[in-house]
Amino acid sequence: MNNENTLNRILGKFSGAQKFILASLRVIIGWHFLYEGYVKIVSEGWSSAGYLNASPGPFAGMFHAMAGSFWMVSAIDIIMSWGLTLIGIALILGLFTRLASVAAAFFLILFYLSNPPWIGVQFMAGEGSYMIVNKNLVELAAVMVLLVFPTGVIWGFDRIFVKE
Amino acid sequence: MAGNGMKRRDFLKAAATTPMLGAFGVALYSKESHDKAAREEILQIGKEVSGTNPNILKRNYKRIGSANDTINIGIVGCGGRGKSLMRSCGFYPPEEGEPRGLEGTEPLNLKLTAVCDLFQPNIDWAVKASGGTAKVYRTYQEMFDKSDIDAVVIATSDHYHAPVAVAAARAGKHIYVEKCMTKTIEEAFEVRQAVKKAGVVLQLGHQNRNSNRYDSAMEVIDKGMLGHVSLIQCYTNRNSRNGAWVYDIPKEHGPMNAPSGPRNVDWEQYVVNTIKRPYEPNRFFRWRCFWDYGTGLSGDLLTHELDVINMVMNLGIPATAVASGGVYHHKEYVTLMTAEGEPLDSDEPVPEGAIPRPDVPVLRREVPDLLQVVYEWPDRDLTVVYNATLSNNWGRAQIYLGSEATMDLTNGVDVFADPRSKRYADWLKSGKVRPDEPMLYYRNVAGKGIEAITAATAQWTVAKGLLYTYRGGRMVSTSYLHLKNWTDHIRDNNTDTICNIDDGFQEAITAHMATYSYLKGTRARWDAENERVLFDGQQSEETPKELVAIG
Repeated sequence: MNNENTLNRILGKFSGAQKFILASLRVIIGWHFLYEGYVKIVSEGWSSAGYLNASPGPFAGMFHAMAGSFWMVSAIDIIMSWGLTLIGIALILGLFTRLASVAAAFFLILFYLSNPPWIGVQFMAGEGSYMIVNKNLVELAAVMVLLVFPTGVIWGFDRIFVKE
Repeated sequence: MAGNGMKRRDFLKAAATTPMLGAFGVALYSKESHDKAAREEILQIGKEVSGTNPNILKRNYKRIGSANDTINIGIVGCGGRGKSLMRSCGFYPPEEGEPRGLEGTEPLNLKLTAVCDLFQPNIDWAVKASGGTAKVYRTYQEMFDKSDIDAVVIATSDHYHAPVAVAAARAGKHIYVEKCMTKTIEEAFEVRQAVKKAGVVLQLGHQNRNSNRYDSAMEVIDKGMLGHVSLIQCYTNRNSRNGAWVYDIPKEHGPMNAPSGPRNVDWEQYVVNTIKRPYEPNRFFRWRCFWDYGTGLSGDLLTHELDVINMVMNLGIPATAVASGGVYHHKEYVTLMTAEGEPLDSDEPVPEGAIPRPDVPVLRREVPDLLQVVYEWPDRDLTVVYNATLSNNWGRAQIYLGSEATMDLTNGVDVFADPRSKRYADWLKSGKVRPDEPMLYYRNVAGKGIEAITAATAQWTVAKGLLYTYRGGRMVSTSYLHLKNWTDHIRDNNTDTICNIDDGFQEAITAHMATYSYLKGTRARWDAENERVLFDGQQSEETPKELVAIG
């Protein structure tokens, strides 16, 4: 049987509002990932190749090399579309939240590095001009919040796994 | 204690955010319905689906027959373009590695059994690429007489397209021939007659017909979404010596009868059907710059544009053509080498101490590097303007100007409502459609689009580009698709390829009307009834003296 004390030990004594806002953040990020993943699965002809090819900055060579291989692109396409979808579902349900947060952070770091808003780096067409901090970094920071405040054990199926 | 109560409360808390998945589903459904309705509303405007363009059906050809016997092919002309076509067929020396756009494609099941070229290193390459199966023939006539080929790929200089194609047809070989299909107007008639008589399957090498952006462009035209299209603009822009056909001349050149040095060029055969000049490496390796062997901008690059416009609009041969231009920029070129005698790339910065190559004369091109052509189709109330410069690389594209909307093929396909359109007036007024934003757009999947987490836009995508296009999300070489369309038709014994002999005839006549108009300095007219080209102010239908072959 789950124990309210165990949960309190993990989470400290948060107010209802604090817990609600943290859980909402998780659901919102999950929603974003789920939609990104879903769209890629259902879009006929979607491929990561274009994004990888357009990568600027110091890591461009690595991303271009990925785009150059048909098998690599095929693998990335599957990992991306299904990865984003599963992360999204997990975050919304509050199931395996930590694993999902780590995976989300991994993707976001790659997105950040593939198009780094660093001084002197040409930004990708279609993106705005940022200075070091961009939307990917903000979302990464938010995911890190989820990682250290595992709200899945309050409102989410991770609650089931909490042992006394 | 109230164990059950706790469990239930736990479960409710565990599932507290689950309803958000349902909310996601509802939002997704309503978004997709909304997007679909918006797209359908736009597409509905051009209700008048004509379905009269036979090219739409031709694009979606699927092989019927199950027979998949190996087709033996030969290659005549295995230089730059020939090698590229062989790679697309799956033939390349192992050390080159699999070419781009071929990964994961269905093999064409061909065997390269014959090769004919006038430059020894090209022959060596082809034999190696074939895996040793190719036999070498000194002449194409010998190849057609003696080899076991079923089909031939012709990628020679332009002045050999027609003679080889006619000989191939007479020998009953299927033909893939590079554009421009012929060098002269008369040859276009000869090739058409020979191919039709023999019933062989011909594909003209306009591979960019396979780019899937034209599926969308043709749908837009077929639905009449642009209203009356009165003007189409198209262009070619390049700004490099290589782009202006000033190719590198390998060190190991030299005619077969040279007293000393390399003897790799069969110059005598090269000039069999044209003016017999003494050996001149510019004229062999940079043949596109000379009227003896090439067709200039009109046959080489204009045809890329006019051919797809013909496919999209189903126009046929224009009634008139007027051309102007000249050699504006690339007047003279001195081919250089390092002090140590190493040839230099014509587009690389010139290192200190570079000196002219003693084995290469100064290049003085004959064909224009700037050309403007105006074509008219009075029966369609349409003008097409083409212009090209080989000394500026500003990217331009085909633009179709209609009374209701404009279609721009720069980045894919963009359709803009005309600000003064009557058909779209209500939408423009309500703001549903804005004149500065495309009301319909089809995008290249691998364009510089944002596909990552920051922007999920499910777009209706098409490819841009002449070399590659997309099939099922995979980048595929358009040349591969073009060759596959040809071999599929050969196996089905069907002559109606995506760029068949009739398309080829139209392509050649259209290009040559511009070339002849430029060289004769007068307007060319197509007399459709009698199938001949006439020239204003001139009684004769003579071929311009620059193009006359002295056999």
